[in-house]
Amino acid sequence: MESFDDILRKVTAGIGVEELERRLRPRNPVRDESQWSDYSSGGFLAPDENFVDVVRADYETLARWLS
Amino acid sequence: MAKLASSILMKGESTYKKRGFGDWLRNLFSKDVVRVGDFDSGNFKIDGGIVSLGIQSCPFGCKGKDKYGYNSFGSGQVYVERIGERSELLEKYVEIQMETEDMESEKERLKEIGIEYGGMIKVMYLSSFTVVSDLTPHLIASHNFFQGDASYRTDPKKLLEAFRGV
Repeated sequence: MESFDDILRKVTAGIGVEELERRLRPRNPVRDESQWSDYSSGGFLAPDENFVDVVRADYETLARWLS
Repeated sequence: MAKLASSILMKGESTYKKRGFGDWLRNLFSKDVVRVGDFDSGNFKIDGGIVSLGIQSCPFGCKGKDKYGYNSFGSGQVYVERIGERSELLEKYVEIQMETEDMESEKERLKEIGIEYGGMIKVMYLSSFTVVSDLTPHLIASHNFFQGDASYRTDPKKLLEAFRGV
């Protein structure tokens, strides 16, 4: 099975974590961060979320389900 | 159709075990599985309709169709696929919407069940629906990227539940 580092390298290939995080956050400033408790207002990542943690959680979920 | 989807998923799982996540993910979003969304019975019924949330482009900077034939941009349409029966929360939400006549009392009653006015997407998420936008297949197939456990994104666990017909 692929390690998480291998998976992360594939996900961020050619772009890098920092740049990807920048693109995944909403373009417009978020006025009230509490609004991110459950829904997005234009981006994929909430202000307090870390991209690597989101990807890790997804793959841990998949690994559990497929083991 | 549920059987077809399960069979594709099982094939995908076998690929995953042999060749890793990348191939498995591509299999998961084979065109046959995506077509499940058009079918109107059993576990794969589209019950929530289509919601427009604005245009999405690929955050990885892709243009046009990818090598698997998926669009690297989304029209903003989000498909909410039904998994199993409606939950009590969804039933309650619909009941409140039907019974209340003015917006203020609707807001108050929704607040009592922990939902903000207009929070249908949250209700669907909490009721075991999953959200799949038309950008999702590209993000998964080309970038191995799911989007985590949040109501506006595609949770891989719920995706598996939907495709397995749990």
